[in-house]
Amino acid sequence: MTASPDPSAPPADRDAAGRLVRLAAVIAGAALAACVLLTSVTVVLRFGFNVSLAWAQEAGRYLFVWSVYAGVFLAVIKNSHIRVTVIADLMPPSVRRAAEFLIKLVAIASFLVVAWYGALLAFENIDREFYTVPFLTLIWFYASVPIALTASALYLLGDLVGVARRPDPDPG
Amino acid sequence: MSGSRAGPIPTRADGLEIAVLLGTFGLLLLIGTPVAVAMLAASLLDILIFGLPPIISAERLSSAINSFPLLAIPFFILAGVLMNRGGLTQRLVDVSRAFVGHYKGGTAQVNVLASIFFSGVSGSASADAAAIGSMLIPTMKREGYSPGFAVGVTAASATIGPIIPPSIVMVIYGSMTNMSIGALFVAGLVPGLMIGIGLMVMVSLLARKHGYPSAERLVWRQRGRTMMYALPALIAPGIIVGGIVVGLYTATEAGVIACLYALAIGLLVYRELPLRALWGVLIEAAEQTAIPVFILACASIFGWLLTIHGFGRVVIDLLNALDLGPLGVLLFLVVVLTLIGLFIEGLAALIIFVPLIVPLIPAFGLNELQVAMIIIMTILIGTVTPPVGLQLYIAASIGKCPINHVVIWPFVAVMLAVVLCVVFVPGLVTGLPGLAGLG
Repeated sequence: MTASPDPSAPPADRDAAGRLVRLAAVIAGAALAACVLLTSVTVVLRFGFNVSLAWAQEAGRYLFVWSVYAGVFLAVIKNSHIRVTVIADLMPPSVRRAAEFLIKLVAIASFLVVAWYGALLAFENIDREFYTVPFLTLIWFYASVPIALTASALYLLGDLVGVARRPDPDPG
Repeated sequence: MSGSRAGPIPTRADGLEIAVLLGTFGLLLLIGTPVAVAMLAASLLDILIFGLPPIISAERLSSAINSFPLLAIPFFILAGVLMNRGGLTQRLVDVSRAFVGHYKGGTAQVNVLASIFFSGVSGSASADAAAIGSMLIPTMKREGYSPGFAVGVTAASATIGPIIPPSIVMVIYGSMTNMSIGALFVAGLVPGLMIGIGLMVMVSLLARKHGYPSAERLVWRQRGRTMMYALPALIAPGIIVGGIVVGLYTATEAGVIACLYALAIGLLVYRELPLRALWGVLIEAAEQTAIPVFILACASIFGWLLTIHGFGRVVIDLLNALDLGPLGVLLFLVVVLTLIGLFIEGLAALIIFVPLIVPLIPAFGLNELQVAMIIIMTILIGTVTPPVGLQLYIAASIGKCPINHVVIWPFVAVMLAVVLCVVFVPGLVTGLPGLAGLG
């Protein structure tokens, strides 16, 4: 799987995007690897030894949520979230550019609003422990949404500024 | 039972709230906004305008996907990739070739049969299209099949993957509707096999018409030898599907077992799986999981708003006004979802439309398993129909064939025929789960 940052971007932007892709990919991959390992251990222990490992199941689920939100950030950078492009494909280039600009603004605003309330929610849970894992509190679980969506919003904001500055806008 | 799952039928609908929500969503979708963002933005606007607590949006985005059944999704994606890289898929193709390669259009028949075997371990149509397509489309082109036919067979047969259990689409459907994923899995077995057989019949008709080649018939000793080599790969679908049907394990457990089995066979028996490749496989699985699961998370806010605004009432009133009756409602669903499938990607279409359709189940006294299978199969048809069809794109890019040259409509006709069979004969999908005690 290779990074696919905008080829028309100046080299500095490309490098930065490439680094971000690698970072998001490492978090998503590592969280998924840990989730897969914990869940596999849970299942093997249940079938093989009739032992139930509640903490591994709970931690596995939280790692899954982290992997998903790191993956969401990754897909934002790579522009691979699913869209319906039937109408957009018919738009003249100038309208399409305006639509892309609007889409990014909408995404940035939505991500920031949810990130703000997500952060409030995370801090509300700063003292609540995991149900089956002592010492860890639920802020670790709830933090995934505000962190990933803030990062996504900031990336899109940088992209928006970059597109506005660039004389020859990307063809999309 | 279906009534309690789908919730009570709302008595009134908040017109303005629903108009804002659906209007914003529709507009954003049309200008090309990612489906998840369009759902999220429309929901937030609705929440902020109509004074609902906005913290719910953040709470839903985390909690809706904090679910053990959803963990099955990356496992089924991984299982498919591990089967391909570990040499199991190749063995399934070899066995299929040994048994059906000598028929007219033999390699096309192999394509369908291998997809049926593959679907018993993998839950993803894309994995099927990519794996079987990259093995068989080049061969088919070399043997003189038209590229459009080779691509069409591959895309169509790949849809069997998520109909025969296990299935990512069913995991998502079950988690959205609180239906038993086990029951959905078992319900898919009969229609999945029917589509497989139907596609093989269609291949045979088209192969005769176009004079496509057949391979030499193998003697039983050669077939036996191929079976022996392929045995570890061949029993994998038995272990997974068998365990699900008798209720030995849940969806996620089936996913874990499929992965561990494919990993063990790929590493220890066929010894074709490079350990170094695993990291790339994991990242690929993480991204392929994140995209639909994020839509699901955003849809949980969207669906919640539709419910509290009483949207179910609107749909029910609309269909009551059309005076369709239960059978008419089912046929209406098939027509509408087929049309939607032309333009909206499969999983996204499923996640958008399920919350709109579920209120119809108690209102029209429909069977929830039958409705589920009709929705799932029709949405999957949408993944092979142009202009928007993921399986079609994957197969066409492997076959280097323009979309408008792909021979897909005869296969779509077969799939639609099976959907209609399920509309008129609900026992096809409710019978087996009933026998397994899951119905």
